[in-house]
This record gives sequence, structure tokens and C-alpha cells, in this order.
Amino acid sequence: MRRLVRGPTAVVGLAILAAFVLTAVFSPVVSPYDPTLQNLEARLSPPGSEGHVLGTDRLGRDILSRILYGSRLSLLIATSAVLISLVLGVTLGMVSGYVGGWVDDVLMRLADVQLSMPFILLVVAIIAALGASLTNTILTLGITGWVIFARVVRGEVLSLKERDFISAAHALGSPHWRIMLLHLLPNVAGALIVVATLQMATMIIVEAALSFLGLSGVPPEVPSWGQMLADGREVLFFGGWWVATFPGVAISLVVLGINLYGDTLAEALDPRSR
Amino acid sequence: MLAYVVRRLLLVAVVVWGAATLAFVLLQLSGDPLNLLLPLDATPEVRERYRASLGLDRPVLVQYGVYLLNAVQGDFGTSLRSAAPALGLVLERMPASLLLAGAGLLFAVVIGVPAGVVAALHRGKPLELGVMSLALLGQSIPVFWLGLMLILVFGLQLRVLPISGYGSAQHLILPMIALGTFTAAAIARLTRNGVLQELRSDYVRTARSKGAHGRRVVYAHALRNAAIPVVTVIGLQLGTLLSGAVITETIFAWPGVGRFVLIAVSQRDFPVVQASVVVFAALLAFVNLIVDISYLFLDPRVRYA
Repeated sequence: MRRLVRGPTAVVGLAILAAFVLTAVFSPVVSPYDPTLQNLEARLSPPGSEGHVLGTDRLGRDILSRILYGSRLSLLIATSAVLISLVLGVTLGMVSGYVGGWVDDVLMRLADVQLSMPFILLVVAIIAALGASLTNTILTLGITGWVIFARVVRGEVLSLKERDFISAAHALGSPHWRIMLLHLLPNVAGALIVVATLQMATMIIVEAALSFLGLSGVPPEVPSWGQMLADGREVLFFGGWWVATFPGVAISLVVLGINLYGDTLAEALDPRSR
Repeated sequence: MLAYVVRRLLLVAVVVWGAATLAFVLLQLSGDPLNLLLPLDATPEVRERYRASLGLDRPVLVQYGVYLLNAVQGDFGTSLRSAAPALGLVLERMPASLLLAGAGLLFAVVIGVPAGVVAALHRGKPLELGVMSLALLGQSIPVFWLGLMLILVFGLQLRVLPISGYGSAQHLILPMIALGTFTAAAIARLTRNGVLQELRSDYVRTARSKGAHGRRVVYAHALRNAAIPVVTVIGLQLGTLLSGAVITETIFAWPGVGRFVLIAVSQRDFPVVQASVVVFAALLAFVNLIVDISYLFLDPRVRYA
């Protein structure tokens, strides 16, 4: 367990992640302003203006407060999407690896089909068909994220199911569901934690990209990092560099934290690296 | 070898069929296409006549069959916005996208491979820490933000490079960097790990003990073997690159398929969306096939039965 928090990279990564989650939970407490409060007299104030550390946007809303509140949306979408893909991917990967045969063939070809489409194009096409809304965005991201989980689980299960303890469980008459749940699942959990952590980063970026493109279906009054970037892009040409800069720093920082911690997790949980 | 290639080609066909089916399902999910084609105040008689003329009054399975039959012949219908064949519109814009993705990949390899080798050769030194920190950063910055920042610095502040459009080598520079950075970082990390692993291997020790020079060991032995995982990643990254191209093209007003398809999505121009989904799937499936076959030449241990 100590391996999980050892070394400077792990500490930095974990600190960033903790700050991200705490910010999301306590954004009303730590934000200096209401993120939706418009102040037309302070439109496009540069960073360091009175009362606005990171400046304001076109409508005079405080950028810092919007970034702090924006963490909520990123956290909400990323965790729910990753949870959905985790459940879906683990179930399908487990069945695929354990049952084998044509079931395995069909599922893995399905994975191939999905992987041969640019992820963002796939997501955008599905959301366009279903209609843009927060629920549809979460569902789409969650469902399309199954492949990586399924592949990892399937790979592990393929090698695990040949092992003696699984044959022993069979011999003792354990039903298949029991073997999958009690014997196989705990043995793939380590790999799953790593994948789930790194997938959080992907989902945060994809959500921001969707909001940036105006396709995430998040209501315009909800502060979102991607939406802030889209706003910032419009005022970039009028000298308002800070509007697009700081939300991007926030996204990069959180993703960096996840990557740092994910790397440590991968090393700690990979027995070969010990 | 031949049997393997034939089997893989079949898989490409399966993938393309799957993508075409997905595109069809998406159109079914999106509601009545007539709402997109006709003004909302069209009379019911006009709607039904139009529906029949498009074959939309037939059972879904029949429509699917007709759709597949047409798709095989390269006919995805006409764009709802420009009345030109959808596939033609997509293919017309493909060269620009391929140019951008190719340039991004080239940038990634040219930066990523040497960076990874340098890091591996300076193991434990500040140089390695510096290179690897940059690589981790490069993997954390989203392409759309990097694009905006490049526009801000090089286009608006320094005014040295064009920030949008297409046509000259200068136009390619910023989109190429924006798109290639993530992949460059991924390649750098992988190359470092690969080279380190090979440097620890028995044959490198043998080469060293036989008096081969340090540099020769790295370039003639370790790098060649480290190339295998790097080639895999390059293949996998092409998907990422094409995904990133969708966004990069939008930011830099690059006239490729990505930007075009995003506009088509926002206009709900489904024939165009369908055609581009299938074209992208076919392209990526082929690239993966080529990557797998290239192993044969890189690694004599690999034998496909």
C-alpha cells in the first residue's frame, strides 16, 4: 500500500487530484464570486484587476470562480462515464474471455469496429443522433469507453482461467458466475484501477472537447472548462488572452495529475516492475 | 503469410461493414429524416409522397439492405445541404486531412524518437528528467487548447505564422505542432522504455563484451529492436491523430474531412456523416493491417501462420 504514495511523482499527482476533487466539492466555499454573476462594468478585465485574480470574461464573470465551479462538471461527467464503461467493459470482457468461442469473436470484432473510428467522431455522431444533453453525453462517453476495459479484462482472464486455482474451483463445483465474480474479478482489479484512472483523463479531455465544440448539451449557464475555452477563442483576437488560457491550464493540470498518479499505480501494481 | 493477409483483409471488410451498420443505426435513432429535408409546415400529402420517393416508407430491414447495397457501390446518397454525392464530398477533403495527419505523425516521430533515445542514454541524469517531464506534460495538454495557445503566441503576439487556412507550408506548421505534440510525447516515452529494456538484454551485453562501441550498440542493436513497440504505437496513434485532426482542423480552419464532418453533424447532414464514418473506418483498418504486416520486416521472430 505504501508503494501507492511513494516517490515525488505519486505525491504531486495525488496532491493535484486531491485538490481537484476538493475544489469540485467545495467550490461554493472557495469561489470568490458567483460563477454566473455578470458584471458589465468589469467586462474583459485582465488578470490582476481589482477583485479578479484571473480576470473576467466577455460578460464580466469572474474567471477564477468559473474555473473552480467548472471542476464539478468535469468530475461529474468523467466519474460517471468511467463507472459506466467500467461496468460494461468488465462484464463484456469477462464473458468474452471466460466463455470464448463465437461470443468472444463477436465481441472482439465489435471492439475492432469501434476502435477503427476516431473516438471524437464516433461520440459526436452518436450525440448528434440522440440529441445533445448532459445525460446523453454521459451515456455516450460511458458506453463508447467499454473497449479498453473489455480488452484488459479479457486478456487477463484468458491467462487466469488456465491456472490451477480456477480448475480447482471448477472441480469443487463452483458455478461459472461465482468463479467470474469471486476468483477472476479480484485478480483483474489491479489492472482495472490503472485503466480507470487513466480513462478519467481521457473523459475529462473529451468532455472539454465536446463543450468546446458546443456539442456536450451542457446548459450554457453551467460553468464548463470546454465552454470557457470556446468563449475564450472568440475574444482571443481582441486581446482577451486570459479567457482561454486559464481554463486550459486547469484541464492540463488535472490531466497531468491523473497521468502522474496513473503511472505510479501502474508501476506499483505491475508485479514485473518490483 | 498470404493466408494471413487474406484473413486480415476479411477483417477489414468486417470492420467497414460494422461501421456502415453503426452509421445506419445512428440515422434511425436520430428521428424522422423528413424533418431535416422538408420545411416543418409541409402538408401531410407532400410528406408522404416525398417519403415514398426516398424509399423511407419501406420496412427498416429493406432500407438497410438497400443502404448496404448502395454503400458497397460507393453511394451514400446526396448531401442534404449541397445536393452533391456525400462520398465525393468526403473524399474531396481527404487529401487535406491526410496531409495534416501525416505532418503531425512526422513531427511526432522526428521529435519523439530522438527525445526517447536521449532520455534512455542519460538515465538518471537531469536531462532524462527534463525530457520525460516534458513528455508527460505533452500528454496532458489537450489539442484544442494547445492550438489556441499556438495561435495566441505565434499568430497574434509574434505574428510570424498564419493562424488559419491552407495552401502553403507556413499554414501547416501550427496545426502540425498542435496535432503532433501528444503523439510525440507518447512516442518519446515508449522509445525510452524500449531502448532501456533492450540495453539491458543479453545480446547488447554480448555486443559490448565483443568490443562494440557504445554508439554502435545503441544504433545498430538496441534501436532496431526498440522500433517494434514504437511502430505499434504509431499505428495506434493514427486513430488518435485522426481524432485530433477533427478538432485541429476546426481550430485552424483547415479544409479537411474533420472540420467538414463537424459542420455536417451540426447541420444534421447524415449522408455526409455516414460516408465519413465509413471512410475513416476503412482508412484506419487498412493502416492497422499495414502496421501488422510491417512487423514481419522489423522482427524476424514474428511469423504469421
